[in-house]
Amino acid sequence: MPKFLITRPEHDDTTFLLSSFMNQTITFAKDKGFEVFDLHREKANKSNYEGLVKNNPEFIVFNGHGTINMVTGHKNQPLLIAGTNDYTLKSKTIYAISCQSGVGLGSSSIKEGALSYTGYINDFILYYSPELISRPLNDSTLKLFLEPSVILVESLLKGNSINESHAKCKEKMVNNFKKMISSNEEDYNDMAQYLWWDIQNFRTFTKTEILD
Amino acid sequence: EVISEKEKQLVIFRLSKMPANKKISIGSEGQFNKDELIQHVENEDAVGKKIVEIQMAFLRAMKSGTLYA
Repeated sequence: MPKFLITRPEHDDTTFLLSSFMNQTITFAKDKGFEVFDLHREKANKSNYEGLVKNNPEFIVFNGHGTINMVTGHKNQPLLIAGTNDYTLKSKTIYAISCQSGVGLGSSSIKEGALSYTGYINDFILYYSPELISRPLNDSTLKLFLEPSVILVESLLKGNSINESHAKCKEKMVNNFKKMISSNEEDYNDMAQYLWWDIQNFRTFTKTEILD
Repeated sequence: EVISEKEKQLVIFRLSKMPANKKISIGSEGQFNKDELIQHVENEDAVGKKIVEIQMAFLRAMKSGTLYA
């Protein structure tokens, strides 16, 4: 049975929004026959991660705040650290929805034998409606920022290559950006620059190339 | 980098048009509404500088026709 590991801390608005949106990929993975390891809320910590990653999941999705060399878990505690436990990424396909982690972990994970590391090389920006914070899937603004990430993960779970999955995600981001920038609605125009920023900083590192 | 007064005023003007019922999440820096963002730009702190960096990069790309590059 193929395996899928996901971390979903939920200690502030940002991590709650990411966790809620990426929860869709858990249902999808189960429907595709994956065994899912869901490190949710306080379970999203380094000790649990290092224990469960020994099950050799093919795919890992990290949701959480980050720095150039780190992705954090519950309450911003270090969970994945370049040069410390990135050896756990060997032979795996990784997507980190996390600020800046692509800078250091992108290359260090590949050196440690990861098949690919997809992430962001600067701050990851979200634009959302606070009044819909309890129902994030109903937030059409937020959807424009996070739906591409769901597409990337679901494409990988379907068995598509990282190159194809990266391209599908990027295409959705660009289409959403075009929708925003050509809209007559003021908030769409305003949010366009932030999605543009995320697109500029989206990267996939592999053994042979860096996709942007 | 130091933010120029011209950039600062331009970004504050653009932020003034941001819908009041929206927030922006900037990673672990936090989540901010329009008034809070304007205050951060006024203060030229880390959040303010990040917003200026993003908006000026976007405007430069738009001006040079490289939004899709």
